[in-house]
Amino acid sequence: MLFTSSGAGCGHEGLPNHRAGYWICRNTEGQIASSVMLRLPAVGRALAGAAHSKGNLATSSNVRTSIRASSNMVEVFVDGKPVMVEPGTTVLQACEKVGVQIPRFCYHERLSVAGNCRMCLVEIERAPKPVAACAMPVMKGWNILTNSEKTRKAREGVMEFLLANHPLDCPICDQGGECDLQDQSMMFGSDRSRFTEGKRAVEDKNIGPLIKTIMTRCIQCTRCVRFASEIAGVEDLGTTGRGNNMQIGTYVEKMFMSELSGNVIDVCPVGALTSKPYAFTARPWETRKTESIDVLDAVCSNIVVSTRGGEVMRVLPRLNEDVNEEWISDKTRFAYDGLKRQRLTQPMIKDASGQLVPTSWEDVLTRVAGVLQGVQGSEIAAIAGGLVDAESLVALKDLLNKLDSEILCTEEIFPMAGAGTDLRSNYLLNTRIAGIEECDLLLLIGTNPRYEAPLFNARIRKSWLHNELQVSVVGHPVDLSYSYNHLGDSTQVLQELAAGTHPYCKVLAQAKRPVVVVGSSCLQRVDGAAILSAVSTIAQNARASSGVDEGWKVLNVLHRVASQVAALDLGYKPGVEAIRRNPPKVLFLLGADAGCITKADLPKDTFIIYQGHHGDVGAPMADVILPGAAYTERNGTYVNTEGRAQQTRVAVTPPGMARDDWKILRAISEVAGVTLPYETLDEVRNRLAEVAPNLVRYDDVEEANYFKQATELAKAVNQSLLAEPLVPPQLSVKDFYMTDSISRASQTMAKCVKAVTEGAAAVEEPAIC
Amino acid sequence: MVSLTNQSTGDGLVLANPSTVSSILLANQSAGGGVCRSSPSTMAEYVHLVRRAVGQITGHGGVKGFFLQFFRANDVKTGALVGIDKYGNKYYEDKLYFFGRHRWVVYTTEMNGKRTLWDVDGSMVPAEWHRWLHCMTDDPPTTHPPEPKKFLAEIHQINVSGTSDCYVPYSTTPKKIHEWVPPKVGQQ
Repeated sequence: MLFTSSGAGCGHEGLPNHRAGYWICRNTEGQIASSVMLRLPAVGRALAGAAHSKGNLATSSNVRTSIRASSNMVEVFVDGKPVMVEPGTTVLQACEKVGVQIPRFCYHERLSVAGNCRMCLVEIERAPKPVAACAMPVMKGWNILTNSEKTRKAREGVMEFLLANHPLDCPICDQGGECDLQDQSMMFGSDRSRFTEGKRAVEDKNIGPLIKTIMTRCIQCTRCVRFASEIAGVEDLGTTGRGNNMQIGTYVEKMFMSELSGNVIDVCPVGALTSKPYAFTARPWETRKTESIDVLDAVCSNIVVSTRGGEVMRVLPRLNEDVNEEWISDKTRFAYDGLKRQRLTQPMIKDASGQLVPTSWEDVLTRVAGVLQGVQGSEIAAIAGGLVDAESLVALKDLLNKLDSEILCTEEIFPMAGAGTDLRSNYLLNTRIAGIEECDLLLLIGTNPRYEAPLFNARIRKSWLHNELQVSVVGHPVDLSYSYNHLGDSTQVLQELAAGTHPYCKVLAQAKRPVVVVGSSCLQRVDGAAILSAVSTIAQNARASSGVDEGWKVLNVLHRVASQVAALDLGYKPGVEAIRRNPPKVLFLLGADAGCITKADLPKDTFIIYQGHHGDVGAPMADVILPGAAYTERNGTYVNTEGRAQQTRVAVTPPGMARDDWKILRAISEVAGVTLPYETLDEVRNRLAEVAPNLVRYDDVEEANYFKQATELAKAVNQSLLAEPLVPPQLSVKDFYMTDSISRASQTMAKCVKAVTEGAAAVEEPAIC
Repeated sequence: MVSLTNQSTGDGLVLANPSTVSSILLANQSAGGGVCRSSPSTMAEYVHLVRRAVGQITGHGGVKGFFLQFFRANDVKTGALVGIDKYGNKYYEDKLYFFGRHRWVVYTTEMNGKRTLWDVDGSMVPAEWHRWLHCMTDDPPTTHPPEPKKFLAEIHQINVSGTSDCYVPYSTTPKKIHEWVPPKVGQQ
């Protein structure tokens, strides 16, 4: 928030509750800028609410704003053009409403306003001096001159001051080509320099193995500081010193420990914060961008995969307001180097000595087909892993069904007692990720969303910060980056909540829009069905007492792997219990790397086929290995935890002899004499549509609302809960980085684990630049 | 060392179509000796022409040899056999042709186990003959055997480019994809 002498004060003193600390810095122009816009009163809300008027990047920001009558609209003029805006709109937002972009460095529409870069200075007609457009609310009748002589002069002057201390190292800077300072100095800067003095230099900081800092390039916009404290919820970054000596950093050298830390690279308008793994590897203009989605968690963030020469160079976030806004987690962003290691590039088969040796596709296909034909259908089983796309899932299911096998399992367990997976609303995050911004009470049960779904957690934090969201947790106490009401970690609490005897039930009963989220990890327990039943009762009670309309959904399941919802939609059995009870003669592992079934669970003569892209847990126990494609190498459909179907796109070709998974399955079916009736991707998707039409309605969330029936059915299951506390498997940040075959193969992720356990200094980095 | 003159043997060969052959010879001659005559005028010249024509035929061992030579080398030239190397390549010289065409080689039909009847290659000429053939010297290795050197190959190698034995440069760029290496049996 910014205080200027020209009167943009927002009543900062009267803020009710500061939930997070904030950094106060005083910049060269003598303004106090607080980096955190905390639970703001009316004016701040208006700023936040009006933030979604920005051009085609329109945020459907669900941050609640008080409804204003349209008669309250204020008329202002931008370069003489009249525009009606809400009172409290800033000059910059008013300009964007008519399509005029004001240059800026410190202003970011998802962060609080700092107003310290001064790049957005514009002239207001009949005002004594230029005003900072990002922080100044408009007044009735103002004429904003965005291209006047005075405005241009102001911009040029600010740019000259910024460049005075900025190194001229664009040719070796990783931000080159996508640098705001570079672009804006070309657009608004002077064509010559009057600068002869020495430049300031700042020591670089080691803030971990992901972010490279070249602090001399920093222009002190404090976007990273505001991102860390507002979005990521870690108070690691701040400013020290003042004036020319102001520095951004962690004060005491330590790692910037956040699961969203990579986003400061995108937020940084200059090359001060860049990606360490990407350093000096590629330029933005020489990479090919493929819009895809991430599958390393169940949120399925939208990403852009930058490739060059058949190699993934980096992963960037893509805007999707309903899923990930414009952020992605560190695993999504930095685990891409796992795609280049431990890959299965050629078919392998076990020879007489039991050694896996590379062979040709003809060999393995005939071998697999022969084995499949040689046994009875009931002796074949399949397990699908967490990174598998819906196309392969349906192909595998059709193949096994044609061979008379019905044993198709997923690695993740979901209790089948009661309604089980028959009712789709039973296993989805029904409220949706964006829906969290509309709720006023959130009950998290047995989950740690911060590491199981970082973007979902960022939404919760956003809502907690701006919408007075009350969060309470049943389960092991974890650091969620926001405060919450911890109700205990025993299953006893759940029972009491379900029975209505827990004191918290009073709070729950007063909620207008309650949401209950249960983590899929606690449903893995033996008493998962009873937990789901209790949660379902809690949710149903909360909905009854809130009196919310029918469309509002209370019960949510937060999954951890990307393939689970699609697999359940297609009719896979969750959990491998059936295989353990009834060991098959032929076991087909489709990317199953969680280690649910080991050799010890199976008889000695079981023939194991592993199809996947990484040699991780599943491949070493296989008799035949079929190399498949990873998520950057195929067009695949994934359904995220809220039931949203999205597709990945081919960014690079599968390495070596690896092929699309559904094509491999189709080839096996042909050799085995049970040809699957599809040959192209479109035909596979037609088949998907036959089985579950929602899988091909991309970017759409199919409505599912059968909670009453599910609760009724859940009453029939065994209600006895085990005494063990509800402990999610990912407790601290070191459990976050390596969770699947891709991130386990990634060296960057291994470095992160090392850095968080032993400190940032433990990771050796080449001393370059 | 074998040395023969090609014009020595003559048999009563009747040409079915002498004009064709003589036109070839003419072309040869015009390309060769710089004695181009567009229209032979005297009897002596006709006789000379016929003698050369007959010499070309007989010099290659009859009609079959003539055509074989013609299709192998796209050229029929006769000259003095200067020498034969140990692989069977024959080296000829005829000063009647202008400089640069006056020395030539008729390749052997099999060299180092490779059939070279049609698949001939310039690199079949061994080093000691190379310098004579390329007019770096006038002394053929038959009369002036080369000084033995350690680096001179015992058996001359034909160029292996384009064959399975060819040299493939070693890649200096790091691997883009590191494949999984299955664990060795017994280490699992």
